[in-house]
Amino acid sequence: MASSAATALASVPADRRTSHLRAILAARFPDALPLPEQTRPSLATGVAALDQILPNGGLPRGRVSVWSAGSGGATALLRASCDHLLARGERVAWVDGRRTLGPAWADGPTVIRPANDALALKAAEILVRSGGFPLVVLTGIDPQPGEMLRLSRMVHEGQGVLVALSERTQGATLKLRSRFLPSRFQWALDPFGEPARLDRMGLEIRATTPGWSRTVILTLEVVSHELRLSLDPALADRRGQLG
Amino acid sequence: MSFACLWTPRWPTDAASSADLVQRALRIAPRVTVEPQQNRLWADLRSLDPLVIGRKLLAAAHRGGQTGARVGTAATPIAAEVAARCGAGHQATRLDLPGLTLVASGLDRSFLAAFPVAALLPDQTLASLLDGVGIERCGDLAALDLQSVEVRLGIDGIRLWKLARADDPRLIFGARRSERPFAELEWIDYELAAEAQALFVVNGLLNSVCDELIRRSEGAHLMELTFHLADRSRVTLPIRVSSPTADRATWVRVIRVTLEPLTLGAPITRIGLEVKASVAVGHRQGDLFDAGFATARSADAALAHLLDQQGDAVVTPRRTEHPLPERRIAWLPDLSGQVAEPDTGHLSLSGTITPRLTLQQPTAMQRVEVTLTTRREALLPTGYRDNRVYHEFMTTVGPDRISGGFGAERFERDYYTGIRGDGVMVLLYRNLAVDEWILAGWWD
Repeated sequence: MASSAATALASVPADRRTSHLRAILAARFPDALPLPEQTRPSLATGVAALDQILPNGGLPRGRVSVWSAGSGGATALLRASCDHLLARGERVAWVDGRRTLGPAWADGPTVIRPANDALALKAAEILVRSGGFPLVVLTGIDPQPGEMLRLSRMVHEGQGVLVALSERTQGATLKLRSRFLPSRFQWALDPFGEPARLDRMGLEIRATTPGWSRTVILTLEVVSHELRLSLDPALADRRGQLG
Repeated sequence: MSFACLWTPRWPTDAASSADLVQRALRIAPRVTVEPQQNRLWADLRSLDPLVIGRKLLAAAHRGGQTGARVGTAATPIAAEVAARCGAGHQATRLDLPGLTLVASGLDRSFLAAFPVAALLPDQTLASLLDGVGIERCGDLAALDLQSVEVRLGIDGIRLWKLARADDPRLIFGARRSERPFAELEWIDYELAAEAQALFVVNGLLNSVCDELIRRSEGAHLMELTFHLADRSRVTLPIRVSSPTADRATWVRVIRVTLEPLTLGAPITRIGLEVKASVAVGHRQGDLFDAGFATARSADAALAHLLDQQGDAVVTPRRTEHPLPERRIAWLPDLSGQVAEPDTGHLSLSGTITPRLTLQQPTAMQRVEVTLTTRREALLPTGYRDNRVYHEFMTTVGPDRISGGFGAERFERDYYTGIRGDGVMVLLYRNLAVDEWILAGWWD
């Protein structure tokens, strides 16, 4: 039996062997779930591609998740998650510790812009501990190990989800990292056939937690920044639109 | 309105008997007023049975020794008064007891019509005039038109004419006192000179008011704070919150914000705090599709706690269409303390939310060094150095020139969009006035 399984595994391409092994184990031991799938209820982000790679189909409740700050697309995906939760009537908070939210920000999550890092951490603690906010996003802060431990306790108490955009991943249950894929960018071209406007960007996201690692590639729309000349929004801009 | 009038030919002259009669009347009807000069007592009959109250009032007067007392009830004061003073005079009334006359609802005018005009107690001059023109009964007077009465009898004649038509404007009972939670503190030994100290007093008053609101399972969304000053003037401040609450911390915060810019012209001698608008919050209907309804109070409380600690940390965006991207959005403090109900009209419930990359901006203007090349006689950055890290562009788009403003506000900029080696798209501009390069933002 063992030799036949080994033979079958040898015939599988190397990059698919891990998933193939998981499938064999699930078939042989149906009651034995991998550790990440045994954890606890999760919070679906509403972005199907992202939920596919998260354990239990969403961000783990009562836990801290960290999205590496240097990654691209984190703001777009977390904002989409916020919109999904808002559409369900949930309350969502965004602690803008790095104070970088731009002109395209639409109404939605409750935005908190604390004066410094310490106050940002304190704000996040209050919000996640209350239990009134299923999702709290914290940006621009790299919590020290002690601070991360404290945040973890607070999140556990409120049973919500805290996603921190941070370089410091120690103490986080779920780690997310993403990177743009320039080869998958889609451009609108100008009359000379040269790139004029980026319409879509390819993004690779990796979700890791002990015993779990998944990757997905998705395409995100790009909201171009409109360089208007007129102060009056009713007046048409004299620049032409790209075909 | 509905009135009962107790009339006695001889009102008790000693204070004890008079007070005794009033106390007996107050046990029968909740609102009573006395006119001893006219030998009468009024009782408010709203929501009460006229027959029951009338009988009880009459019995109370008899027990008090007022054997000649009579009671009349009617929808208007004049009809009740005439009924009490003159008794029945018409078939429309029904007598239940000797001394009790009940005027049926809607028949006040016809009830009065049968009485002589003297029943309305006109003054001597007017009575002579009426006698002179042959008007004997109230019905005759009521049948005249207003202009005729005004021309011949003057303003006093009009008053009497209105009474004859059962049009009695007398306000026997004033407006009912508000039963909303109210707290007040007055002191006479000293004056409160500092507005800041007033907050401590208001805090104490707020305790009483909020406790009462909680006891009633109500939440207030409007309170009125009144300062009575030593110069006899009064300052009234309406205080509002965006959603009804009995949470003291929320009200303290809003009151503190209201009091901060306040300057009073004189020391304070009395402070009153009254709820002006409240609703029951214990039975608020939940929305079937509002998944956050159950935790909404926790969210509100957390936000109130946050505002208490960090003042203006909770912000709301205000957008403009200014040509400069850094001036298109401003973040204003939101002191309402309420989690905004999301406008979900543009969002999909089907779960198909589309993530979109949007421009993010640095907090402060960030100068960068760029490497340049030339394309079609225009400068084109090929990369930039930021915090000693060099980012080379794979693709650069631009320039897009914008200019405008006047004087110190004048701007001339060439904007470029560049794709860095790690795929991040950034927005750079060249400030043509001083020839410097600025990182305006990046897409995330």
